[in-house]
Amino acid sequence: MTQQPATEAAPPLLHLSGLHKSFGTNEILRGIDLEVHAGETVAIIGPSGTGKSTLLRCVNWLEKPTAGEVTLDGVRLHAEMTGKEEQQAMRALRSRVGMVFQQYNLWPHFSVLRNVTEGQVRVLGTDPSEAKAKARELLARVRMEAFEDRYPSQLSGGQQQRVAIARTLAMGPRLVLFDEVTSALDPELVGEVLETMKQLADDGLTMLVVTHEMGFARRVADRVVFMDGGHIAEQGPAGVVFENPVNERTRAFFDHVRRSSWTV
Amino acid sequence: MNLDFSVVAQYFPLLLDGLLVTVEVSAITLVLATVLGTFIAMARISHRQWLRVLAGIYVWIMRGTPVLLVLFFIYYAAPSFGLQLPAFAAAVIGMTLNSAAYKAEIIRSGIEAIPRTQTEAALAVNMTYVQTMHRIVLPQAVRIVIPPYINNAILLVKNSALVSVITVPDLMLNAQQIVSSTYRAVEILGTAGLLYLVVTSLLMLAQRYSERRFALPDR
Repeated sequence: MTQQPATEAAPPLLHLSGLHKSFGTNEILRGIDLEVHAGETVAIIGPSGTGKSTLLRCVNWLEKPTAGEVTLDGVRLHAEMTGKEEQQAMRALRSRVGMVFQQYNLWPHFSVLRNVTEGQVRVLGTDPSEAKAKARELLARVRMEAFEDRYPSQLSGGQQQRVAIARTLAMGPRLVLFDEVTSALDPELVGEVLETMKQLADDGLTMLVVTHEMGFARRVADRVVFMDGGHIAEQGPAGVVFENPVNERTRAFFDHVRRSSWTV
Repeated sequence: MNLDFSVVAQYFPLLLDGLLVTVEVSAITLVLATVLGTFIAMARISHRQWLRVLAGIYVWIMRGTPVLLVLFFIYYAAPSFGLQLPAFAAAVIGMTLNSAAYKAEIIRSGIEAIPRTQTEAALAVNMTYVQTMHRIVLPQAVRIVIPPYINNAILLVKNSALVSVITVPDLMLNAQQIVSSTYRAVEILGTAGLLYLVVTSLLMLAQRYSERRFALPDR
């Protein structure tokens, strides 16, 4: 993967427009517009319960938005679509976007290697031996090549999450969604996963990352999006948002994070 | 009480014939009921309401009526609708219709025990619903389903004795007939009981084997 400089002319890889999502009467997303360009790493931060994960889950249609549309790499889905048309567009969308989950969600009945080959073989129709070769290459990339015969239950959380990243990459996604992927990890395991993600960002993978790791957002993300109450309250280059937040809520959030963080 | 086991030796081939029929009825029913039960289970958790309702009604009726009645109905009442079935076919159909309802509930509980996140991970790599069920959900559900499933299979073998009332020459019917011609109830029924035990014991062994086979590796 080579870094595509985001020029003015290039259309964004991902374009979200007017996204709304309600669960019953509870409105979680209240109109989200967002663009992500190829090669960019965008971090979404903000208080709990402001719809960050829901937004991510709307991008690959795990949640169907109540209103609005998602355009990714020429595939367009909107909330009014139903039936066959929606199914076709959804599958085209999902072939272009991968997702890494907070709880890893590896398949416990498959070995590490099989977790990474299964999607290639079943979905992409890749020849099994080819799929294995690619899986081994990706496992090496997340430094899990020595564990290919293990089962998820035999791995630490950090190891499982790195396998989950390899599983996602194996599908050749144009964009990868990371949904609080270090939140379930013991503190000493967070670093190895963030390190892997930094490597991917440096390699030019396009990433949309919901995270509570402010250090990661600040150092790795090209752009930071601050969400509050179902809206994007503020966004900009990481340095700008962290150093000089314009929005009152952003400032209050950073103050709160600083005050409540315990230092050793 | 004087026991005469020579009668067992004399009639043993007849008992074995009956056992073979019992095993046939049970095995065919088990396979058909598992297939039918899996589809009913998936219908019970479908997004389509009419499928859920239909499957729910099926389970409600078949779980709520005696197998014996269903057997009688298919063998004696179906001809009124112009459907004349041989006893063996009527037996298998009746047992399958009844057993599938229980299997469906067992399989449904297994499917529902698999966390939603497992399905989401499969959808996120763009698997279809069928692939997700086939590769991710059902293989994991099997592990959970084994004990109640085998339990139900054992019940099925024992309940298959009911097919004797619609003239299927199973182990029960043959034993009964030998008893009524020899008056050697203890010897013959005792032997028949042992033969049933052999079959159900094999199922218990199958449970132990399959529980190990599908066990997840230890930490």
